[in-house]
Amino acid sequence: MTDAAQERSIKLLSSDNETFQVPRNVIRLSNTINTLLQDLGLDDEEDAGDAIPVQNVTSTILKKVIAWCQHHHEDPVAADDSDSREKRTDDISSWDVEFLKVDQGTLFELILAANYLDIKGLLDVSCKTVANMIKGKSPEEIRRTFNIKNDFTPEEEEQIRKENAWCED
Amino acid sequence: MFSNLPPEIRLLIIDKLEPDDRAELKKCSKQCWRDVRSSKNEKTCLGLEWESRTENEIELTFYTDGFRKAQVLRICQDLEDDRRIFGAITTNYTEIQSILEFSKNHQSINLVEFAKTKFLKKLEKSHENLRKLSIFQGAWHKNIDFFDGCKMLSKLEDLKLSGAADGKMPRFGANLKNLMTSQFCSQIFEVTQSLDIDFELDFEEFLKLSATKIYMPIGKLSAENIFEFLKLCENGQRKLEKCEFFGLRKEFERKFLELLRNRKLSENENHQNLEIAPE
Repeated sequence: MTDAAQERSIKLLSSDNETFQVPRNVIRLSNTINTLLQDLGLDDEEDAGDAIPVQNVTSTILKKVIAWCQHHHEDPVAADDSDSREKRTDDISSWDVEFLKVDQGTLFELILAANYLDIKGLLDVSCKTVANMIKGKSPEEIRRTFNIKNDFTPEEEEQIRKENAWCED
Repeated sequence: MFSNLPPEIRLLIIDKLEPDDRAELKKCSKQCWRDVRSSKNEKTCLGLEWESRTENEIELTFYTDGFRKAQVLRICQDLEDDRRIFGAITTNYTEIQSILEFSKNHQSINLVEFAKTKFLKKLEKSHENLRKLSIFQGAWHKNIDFFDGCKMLSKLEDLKLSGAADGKMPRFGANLKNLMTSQFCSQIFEVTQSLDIDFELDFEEFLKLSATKIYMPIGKLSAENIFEFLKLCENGQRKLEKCEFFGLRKEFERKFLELLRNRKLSENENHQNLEIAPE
């Protein structure tokens, strides 16, 4: 990407038709948008051109996604990208912890947006946040936390109880 | 709600849990774990795949954007001679329809349309490219290797093409998210249509190119072509484990399903009746 391309802005159009102007070097964190711009040669174009529709993301969520990208766009690329690092859930930065203190619906929407836009860092940290909400809880507590319906039949529940009896002893 | 998240996302979350926590989650509900395992390491494409498991058993799977949405059928029964795939599908027609409907609703059509418009604009800009396209057209008539043809088109539009060199599938705009890649592939073939470029796919050649996997851009293929291709696969003339169709266009879907329904039509009748009309 040339310096000129880095400095330009890209327009994104949310599902509810709100347009956001985002610096090119911020939105590069989205692989989806990044590769779209590269593959279609739009990086070479002078003006911002048409807004790119981000059909699966509402303006509220897109605003948050952009805020996250703005905060993290100068982060160094993580050197340690191993499985063990991805499995850790206690390494969320305090900024991200605050950022992700949102209601569950918003958190899930952020995950879906990060997945759709292929923003690895945001996807990773938001999934870790959900994982932290599960950790250490009993099945009943997890159900309450996520409003999950118990869809086991009594027979199936009994079967699971038997299967796991050894670890409850 | 957690269980409403797509399986691929649930899997990402579950992978961050320790075994004890996973076990607790597993005890919450069946829904939480449904599809999760099958979504792991699955290819991403929009299409239909079948896999011969045993002599009489074929597994059919529909893919949507990013993960295996449904394992449609697993059959193990005596079906009529070489039409067993079709028979299997028609017995579950309603299910197939609903999955197709889901896959259509789940795509990001606008984004694809956007890409298509940009691509067309870019193509129209360059007379030189149009001249080269006529060479490309000639290549098809000489039955030049399918992948060479793709490479030519790739060079033509500076599209990134990967995989073709080692005999794997050509991916147009391979760096695009896979969702778009599969769509984009068919869009490009639509572009060739719009420029009145014709090509005939040499099935024999095409099948030689890959031992186990075939990725077929639908583009201008007629239902007759597809039918012929299915028969080749079915008859076991090639070592073909998997087959995926890219860019299941609406018209194609309709015709294809029609073809599947009309199992008793003779081949000739099929050829007459099931030619895909230009969109």
